[in-house]
Amino acid sequence: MKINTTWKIALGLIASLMLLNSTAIAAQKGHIKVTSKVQKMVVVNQNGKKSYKFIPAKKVLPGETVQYNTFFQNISNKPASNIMIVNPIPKHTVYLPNSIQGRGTKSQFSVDGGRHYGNKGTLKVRSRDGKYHPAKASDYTHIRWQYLGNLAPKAQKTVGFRVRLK
Amino acid sequence: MDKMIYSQHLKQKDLKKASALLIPFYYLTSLLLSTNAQAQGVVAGTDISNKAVVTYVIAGDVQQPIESTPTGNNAPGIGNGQATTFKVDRKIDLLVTGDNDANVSPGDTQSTLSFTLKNEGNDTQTFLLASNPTLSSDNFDSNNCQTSITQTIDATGAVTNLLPIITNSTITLAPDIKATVKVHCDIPLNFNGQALTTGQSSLVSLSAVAQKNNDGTTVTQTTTADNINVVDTVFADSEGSDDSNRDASHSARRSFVTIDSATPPTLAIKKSIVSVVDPKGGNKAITGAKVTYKIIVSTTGTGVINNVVITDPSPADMTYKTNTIYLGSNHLTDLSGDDNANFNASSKIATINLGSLNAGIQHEIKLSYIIN
Repeated sequence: MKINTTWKIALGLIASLMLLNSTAIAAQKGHIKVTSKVQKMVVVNQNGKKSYKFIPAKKVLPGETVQYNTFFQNISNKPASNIMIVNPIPKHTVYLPNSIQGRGTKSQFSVDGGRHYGNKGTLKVRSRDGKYHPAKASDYTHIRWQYLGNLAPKAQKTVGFRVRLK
Repeated sequence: MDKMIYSQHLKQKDLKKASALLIPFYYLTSLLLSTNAQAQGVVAGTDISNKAVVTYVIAGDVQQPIESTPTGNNAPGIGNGQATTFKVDRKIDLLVTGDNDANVSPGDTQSTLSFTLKNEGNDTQTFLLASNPTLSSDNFDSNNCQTSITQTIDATGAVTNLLPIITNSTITLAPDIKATVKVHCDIPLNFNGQALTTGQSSLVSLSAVAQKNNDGTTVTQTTTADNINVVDTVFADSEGSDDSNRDASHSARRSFVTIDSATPPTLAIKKSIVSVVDPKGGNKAITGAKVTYKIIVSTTGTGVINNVVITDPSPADMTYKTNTIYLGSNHLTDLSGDDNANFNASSKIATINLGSLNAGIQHEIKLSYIIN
C-alpha cells in the first residue's frame, strides 16, 4: 500500500502525541531549545521624541501592546534544517500590522486556525454575508516562520511579533 | 529501510503539511479555555498564554516538534512545553454623565435629576454614589438629596428596569454596564432669606467612587512591585466636574432651574370716579355731565405678569367722550394701531394694552364718559 509522505509524517507525529505519558519519551532530549518571552511595549518621550521601550509584562491593561519573542537554539552538534516556528496569536489579543520580526526567515499567516497559510495580502476571510474579503491583521490566527538555511550547532535565532491586548 | 528512505526523501512542503495537520488541535484547545472579552477590554485576571512550536530536521531525519517554555525547553513532544503567561491587570475606569437640567418650582419635594454611571473598567466593581447640592456658582441650594438606581443598560442597549427603586447608595456593575441614577432633592421656597424667583438654578453633582472589586477586596491602586502572576490595580479614570484624574472616581453636575417664583406676582385693579362736571359748571350727575374715571392697575410680589390688557366697556346710559384716554400723563388716541389704546365705536369698549408688568409697577389710566 502506498501512503502519501505527508500522511506518514503526520501519523508519526500523532503517534508521538499518544506516547506523551511515556517517561522514556519525556526524558528524551531534543536538539533545539525553544523559549517564549513576553514583554510590554511602552512609549517613552525622550527630548520630545517618541521611542519605544520594552519592560517585563507585569502590569498589562486592555489596549496595551506586548511583544512576543521565540528563541530557538541548536543545542546539538549537528546543523538543523527545515526549521519551522508556529505561533498562534494568543487568545484575547490581536496581531499588530507589520509587527512581525525574524531575520533570515520567511513568514506566512493563517486566518483559519492554522489549517492554511499564505503570504500577507493574499489571505481572505468570509464575512457574514457569505462574501470573501481581504483579511485584516486582526483576522490572523497563527503565524508561521520558515528559517531559511541551516542553524549551526550552538547558534541561536529569534522571531517575534506584537499584539494588542483586547 | 522504509523509514530511511522516507527521511531522505523528505521535502520541506511535506513537513509544512504535517505541521498544519497538528495546528487545529492547538487551536481547538485554546478555544476551550476562552473567556469573554468585553468592549472595555479583557476581564481582569484573565491569563494570556502563548506557546510556540518548532519543527525541524537533523541529518535528514524529521524530529519531534518542540514546544516553548518561558525559560527554554528541549524536551520533544507535544505537551512538554509550558505556556508563557501573564495576567491581565485590573483597570479602574468609570464615567458619570448628567442627562438634562430639570425645571422645578419653589417648594417642590424630591424633584429629580438624571445621571448615567458607566463601568469603563475591565472588572465588576461596586460603586459608592454621593450627591452634593451645596456647590457655589449657582443661585440656591436644594436639599434633602438622595439617590436611586432605576435601570441598568448593557453594551447592546438592552435595558433592565429595577423595581422597586433602590434607595441605598451603592451599585455593582459589570464591565460595559451603565446604570441610570436619579438624584432626588427638595427645592426650598427661600434661600439666604430671599424668596426664589424664576430662572434661578441649583447645581447638584453626582459622584461615584469605585469601592469594591469583584473579589470583594477594597479598591486600592497597587503600589507594591508589580507581579506577572498577580492582578494589579491601575486607576485609569479621567477628571470629572468634582474629582481628579486617576482617583477611582468620576462626577458630573446638573441643575434644578426654577420656572416660577416662590412669591408669584399678583395684579390688582381699582376703578374710581375722579370728577363729575355738569353742563352748568357744577358737579351734579345730570344729563350731559362729564364723568372722569380713574383705573389703577397695581402689582405686588416678584416676577413678571405678561399680556396685561385693560378693557372698559361704556357704562349703561353713558357715552364715551372721544379722545379722553390717558395713561399716566400720556394722552392716547382712540385709533387702533398707533399706540397702546383704542376705543371701538361699535362695541363701545375702550382697550388699553399694558403688555408685561414687572412686579411692583403701578399704572394709572383715566378716561371720561358723558351721561346720556
